[in-house]
Amino acid sequence: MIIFRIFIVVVLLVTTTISAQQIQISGTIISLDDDFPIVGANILIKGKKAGTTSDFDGNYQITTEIGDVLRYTYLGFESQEVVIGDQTSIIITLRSDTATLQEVVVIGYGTQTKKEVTGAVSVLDSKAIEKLNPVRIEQALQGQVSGVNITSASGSPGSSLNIRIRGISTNGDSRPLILVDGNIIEDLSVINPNDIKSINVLKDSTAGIYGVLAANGVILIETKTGRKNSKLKVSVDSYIGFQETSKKVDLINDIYDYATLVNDASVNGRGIDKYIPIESTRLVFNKNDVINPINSITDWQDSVFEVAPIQNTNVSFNGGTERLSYSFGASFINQEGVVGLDKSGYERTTTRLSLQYALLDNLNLSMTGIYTNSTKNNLPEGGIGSVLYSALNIDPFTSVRNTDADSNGYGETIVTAREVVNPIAIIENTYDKSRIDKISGTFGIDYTAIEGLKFDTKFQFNHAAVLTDIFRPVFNYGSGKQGTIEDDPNVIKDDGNSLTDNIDFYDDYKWENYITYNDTFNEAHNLTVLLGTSIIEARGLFSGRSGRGLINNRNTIKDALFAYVPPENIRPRFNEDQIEAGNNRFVSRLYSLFSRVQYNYKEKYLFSAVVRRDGSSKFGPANKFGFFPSASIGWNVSEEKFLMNNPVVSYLKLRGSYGIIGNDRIGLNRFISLLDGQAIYTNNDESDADDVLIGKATGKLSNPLIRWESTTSANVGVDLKFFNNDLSISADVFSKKTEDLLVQANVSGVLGASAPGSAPPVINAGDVENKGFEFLASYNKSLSNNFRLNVSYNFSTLHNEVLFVGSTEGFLEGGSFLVGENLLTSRMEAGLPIGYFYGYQTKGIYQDQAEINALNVNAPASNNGDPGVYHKNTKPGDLKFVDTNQDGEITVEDKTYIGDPIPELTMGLNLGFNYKNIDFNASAFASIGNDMVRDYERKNLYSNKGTYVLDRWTTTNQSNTIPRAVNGSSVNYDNFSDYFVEDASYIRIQNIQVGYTFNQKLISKIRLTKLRLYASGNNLFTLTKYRGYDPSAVGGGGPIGSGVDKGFYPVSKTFLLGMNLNF
Amino acid sequence: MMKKLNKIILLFIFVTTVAACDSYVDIIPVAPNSENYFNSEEEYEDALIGVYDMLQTTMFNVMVAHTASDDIIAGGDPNTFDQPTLQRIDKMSHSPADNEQIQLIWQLMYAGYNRANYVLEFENKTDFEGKDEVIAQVYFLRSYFIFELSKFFGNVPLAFEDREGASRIANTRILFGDQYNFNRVESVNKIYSMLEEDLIEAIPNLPMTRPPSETYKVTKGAAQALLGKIYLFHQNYEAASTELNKVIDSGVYSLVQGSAYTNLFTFAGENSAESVFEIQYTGVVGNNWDCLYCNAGNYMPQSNGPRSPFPNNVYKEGWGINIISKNLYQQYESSDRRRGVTILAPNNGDYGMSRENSGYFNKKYLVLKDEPTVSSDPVSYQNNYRSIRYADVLLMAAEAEAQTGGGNAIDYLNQVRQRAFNGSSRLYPYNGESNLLESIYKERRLELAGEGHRFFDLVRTGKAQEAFAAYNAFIDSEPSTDEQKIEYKINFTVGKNEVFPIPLVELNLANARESWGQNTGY
Repeated sequence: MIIFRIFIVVVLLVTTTISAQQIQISGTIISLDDDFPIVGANILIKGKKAGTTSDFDGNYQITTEIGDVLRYTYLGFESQEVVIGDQTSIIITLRSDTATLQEVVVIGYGTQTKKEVTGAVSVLDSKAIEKLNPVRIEQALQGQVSGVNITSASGSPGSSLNIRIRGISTNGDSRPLILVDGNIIEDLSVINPNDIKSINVLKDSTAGIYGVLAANGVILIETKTGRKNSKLKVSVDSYIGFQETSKKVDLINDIYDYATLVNDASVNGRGIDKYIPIESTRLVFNKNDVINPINSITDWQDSVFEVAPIQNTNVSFNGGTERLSYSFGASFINQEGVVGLDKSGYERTTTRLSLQYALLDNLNLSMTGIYTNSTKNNLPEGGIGSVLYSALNIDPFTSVRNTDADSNGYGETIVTAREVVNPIAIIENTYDKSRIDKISGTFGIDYTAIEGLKFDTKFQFNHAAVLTDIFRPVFNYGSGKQGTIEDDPNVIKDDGNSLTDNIDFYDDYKWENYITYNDTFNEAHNLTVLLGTSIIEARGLFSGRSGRGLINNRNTIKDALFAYVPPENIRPRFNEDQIEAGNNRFVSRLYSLFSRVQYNYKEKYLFSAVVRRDGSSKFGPANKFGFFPSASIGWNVSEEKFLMNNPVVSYLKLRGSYGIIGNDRIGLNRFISLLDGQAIYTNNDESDADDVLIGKATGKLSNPLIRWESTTSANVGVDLKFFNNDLSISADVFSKKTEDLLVQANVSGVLGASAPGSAPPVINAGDVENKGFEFLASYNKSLSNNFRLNVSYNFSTLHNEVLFVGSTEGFLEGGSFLVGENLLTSRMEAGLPIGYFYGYQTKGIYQDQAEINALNVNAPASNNGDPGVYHKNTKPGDLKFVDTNQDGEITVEDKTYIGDPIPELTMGLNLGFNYKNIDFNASAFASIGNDMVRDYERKNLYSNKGTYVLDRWTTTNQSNTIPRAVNGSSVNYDNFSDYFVEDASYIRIQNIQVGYTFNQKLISKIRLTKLRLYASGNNLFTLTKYRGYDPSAVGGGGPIGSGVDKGFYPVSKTFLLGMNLNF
Repeated sequence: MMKKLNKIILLFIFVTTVAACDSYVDIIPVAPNSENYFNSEEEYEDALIGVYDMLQTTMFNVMVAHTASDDIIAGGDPNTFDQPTLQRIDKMSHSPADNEQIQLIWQLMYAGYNRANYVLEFENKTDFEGKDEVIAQVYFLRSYFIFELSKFFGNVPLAFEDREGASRIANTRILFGDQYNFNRVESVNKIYSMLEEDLIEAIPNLPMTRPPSETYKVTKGAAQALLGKIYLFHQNYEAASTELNKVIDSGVYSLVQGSAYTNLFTFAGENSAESVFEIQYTGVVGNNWDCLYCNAGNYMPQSNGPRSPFPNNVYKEGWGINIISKNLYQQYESSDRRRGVTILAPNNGDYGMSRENSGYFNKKYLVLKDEPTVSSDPVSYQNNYRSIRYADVLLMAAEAEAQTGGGNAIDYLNQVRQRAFNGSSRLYPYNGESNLLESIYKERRLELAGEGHRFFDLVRTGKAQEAFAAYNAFIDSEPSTDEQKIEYKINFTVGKNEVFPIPLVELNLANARESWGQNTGY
């Protein structure tokens, strides 16, 4: 009925303005922000009294004359003028009027206009996300907003990404709090980027409204909603494309080069030549095989990397009636991997429904529901046994396939270290799938009791099931090779092929109630007061089973069913004792009270203060509750008389914030010692692991006084707009000091923490400081009717310094280097960045023995009076280690800072323009000052190496950078030195997109309101000196030990063709 | 306005009462925790298993003790300095910077000490029939761990408390923070006295024998034998003699004969009539490569096996670590059955060479090929460690009696010899033997070789310097190069190498470089 009435009105309006004049213009008015048609926009003929308004679909018709100027206006949007030529159709996109600064910013339990904001908040809207076509939302944040850095653990499809807001402030969990429509969503892979309306990043202490959860910053994501009184709008967005590896490592792929390297290393390691090269033809033969010289080489990277397809389709329906607005979306993405195609493939289906219903004029109901189903296939990644590590190290004389009848079908390397196997065999014999089924919902009621007083209650929940299916077939990778699974009669149980099915359930709910009181006194004093409570509970329940030895020698993935496993070979994932000990489940809770007062005087002087009291079940009775205050102020200087209507500066705001935020992202039950240590003994009469004597012992030692980490954060910022808002600049200086970091340091052996299953207590003993400067400038202007330009540039500096580590040793260690050598790479220590690389400094290469002898002269004599040696076992061609403590010899005491994985500077550049129907957008990201440890090279005689070793020191090539090749023990390769640390700074063209939007008039014939086609490329080009696959990867795990490259799965280079279609 | 205010107040009350309860965040973990335990007999028994578990970690103690002796060479990969700490211990060139096995012994024996103390701290929480026997086992185990610490490190730090008017080892855990106020006992003899007190308290509460379902548990005989051994280390020969004779007189134990003896160190010979105290290992639980001491199996046999390629039908290949020296091999007469039980001597070329290869391997702890394991690549075997054998008890008793002029010394010695030579051909005094004590010492070496006792016997009898000098003389007599001779010799320093250094990192972690100080000479 309502629609019908509006329709009548519109028809009347339109028909009454028609008079028999020269030219009739028709068109549509669309909002640039969300592509929705604008209802009720005014169209006026300049200088004349005539005009019209747009209808329910944003359509309008007006009769005018050539040479007239049409002026399009709508409240809150910038007006536009068009000179009438001979066109009959004019589509106008209106941009929201930032001059009014009415743009809404979500700040937690409420919104503010941009003008009122006093905190450091970055906003990313759906337009910006759309331009980047991200598979995951995190990819859209990289380079778009200042102060946010995204790094990856892997470039494989569906892999998680790390978000770091203003640096790493803890040795524990540095993830920010992520809220989707207020609901805590830890894993952003379940969200379809197309569903997002806006992303707001709270970077400073104003995030303190979230109390103990907010120390690492808060990301608020709002999903799209419908609009009341709007017709159903259907959008279809789809793209298809292909991906390829963004990089191949520059490996030796010449027969002669490889053979010479092996021989060289062998001879230097007191061995003999392994291959005899024939100089004339550069062919190589084994000593014993003159008849069949090796004359071909396998490029393993070529055989491992493939061109992989990607496709994505997204459909959404939005609209609303007088009381109801709705939005429904569904999407499907299918991405195969550049390694192993489907074997590392990713599929995701999402559906989303959002409803808002005004039950009464002052009572609104809202709900959202998101369902996600994703499947990810996993290949082994990183280090020993992984595909890429093997591809980088396997000797190139091995062929990919082997057609011999008695072989396993794959070329088998007989000479390489046992962990390096045929990577194609790994791919083809890996069956590892994880699936996530997740449903998230929110329900909300808001009730405006009286004008200015609003009551909100919100209930939110997530339910996720994570399913893992793994099948390990009986397969022989070669005699003695890792991963080989045999059927051996002497092996009791853990042999034969195996099946694992695990299911993990994660459930959480959150219930929040708050009242907001908002009033204006004397037309000058604006006051908003918020009071609220929140309870959160998160639970997990894990189960699963595994089985061994499929009957009748079944060994294919098709037969990988528990039905074929002998029942006695099926074991539950958790036995009764583990279930009794609670190993299969967790629960944690949070109870909070919070309040915020916001005051401003004529929107000129702004003040906001937050207090929050949190109680967390993760802490013991002594420290269960914490109190987190913060405050911020702002001054809209441009509201002052002296700056009002200034022709240059159109807007100026100064703001500052200070506060304390907590962090409870720590493990459960650290205030109490659980009896989950290992206690297994035997009466020597068992036939089965189930029969051994199982007792109880203390696990991790307790620390009843444990408390949260607290971050004191200060921020001073300025927002500036020039030239009628065409140019905007924002700058922030911040300092974040995190104290009482939770540290699990080595403790004295007398405490017994080394017992099996035990661990040292976690204590609050560390301080970390992050300081930085953030700058954002953007220029956005219509240079003509046909040409609009937007450029934005941002950079962030970061200085990370550990101020204190309270372990007895004064440092914490982590990160591993090389295989099985127990070498650690990284430390957290006062005065240096968290997770800095700790090893030997080198300075060139010893060119001759005289150089070594000269250093030995000053070395201290040994205890038994032998003459001193500067650096034991060093020969010409070896790395020259630096005696940093100047005691005349190289000892472990000489290890020092040799780099760190934290970039000092990150930058983003975005450039876009629209010219007539063509739009162009490009974005680039740069990271400067991050170092990476090259650890993807196996220390083995036959391992292939990068071509850089061709410049190694030999008696004839006196290199001063690359040491001689040595097989076996060698100072060069047995120690972690800066020889392995590379500068991983990089600049990456993240995205280039060119689009073409068809004329409205053309497509309206097929009843479309929008049709845009585009071509886009992601990660097209990376400029870096780093030799490995991906300088943007840092690996998973904690901050101490990140940036050690064991063969990261590279980010893919993607080419897409896509379409956006609305009707 | 009043009405408005009322509404606000009402709503606020509503909001805050909806969820307002601090107890919402009091979640008690479902699992038992360290402070609410010991509510039933079963819980005491379970915690006791946790103490027993630590015994399995003593395989490192045995490996280090082996390496330190003059009978065993570190060995390992011939092309690298395999297991550097073991290599240095072998030649007595280790230092406080050597961590690995030495630090593990420190950490794990203290962990055992703490697990025992955990039970003792809650000794009085719940009463049940037979609790005294549980506590007695804990006392035995704690004594075992502390005795190991004192053998390796001398007068280690311990906490004391007054109980019933006497100073005793404290029955409370060492908690975080306590490590900074923990002090070294003034002498190792004081430690022996304290352990003696504990064992004297425990012995009356332990049974003579155990049913097969409780083979693993400590018996009275085990506690008496350990007490006797500690008395021997304490040089209280009178008391040692009394205590060890109790074990012998109990009639529970005997020397196994015939094929039972030749198979004594196989799986069939585990927990035999000769076993006074045995550390139980099992091969049915899987491997943890990253934490070898977390395994329920023994990793020592994997180390001891000859290196690949080793085509043998009976024994599995290993890593060729802790090989037997040729010098020891030559100590045995060819008619001595113990040589074949103790030493595996494969034909030349039938095994991969170890560093400083001798060709002799410790047969007492090897992996048998047909021994079932739980994975294709194991480091966790079922071979039990025969901690106190009856032969050891007889020889300790013989020594104690010889020291005090007792009458049974020769008889005890001859019991051991009779088995070794399958009859009475070598009864004492044989072939001009005149020094009974020396004969007993030599018999200990031959009887107990490869079982980890030799180094501590040399130290406690003051014979270390002599023995290592003899070993070096043997090296000199061998046809090696001069360079090899220098490398192979052992630099035992009197007044220093009798004990091991406290790992430097442990001194640092307890802030005790000053307060504890390092052991003399290191």
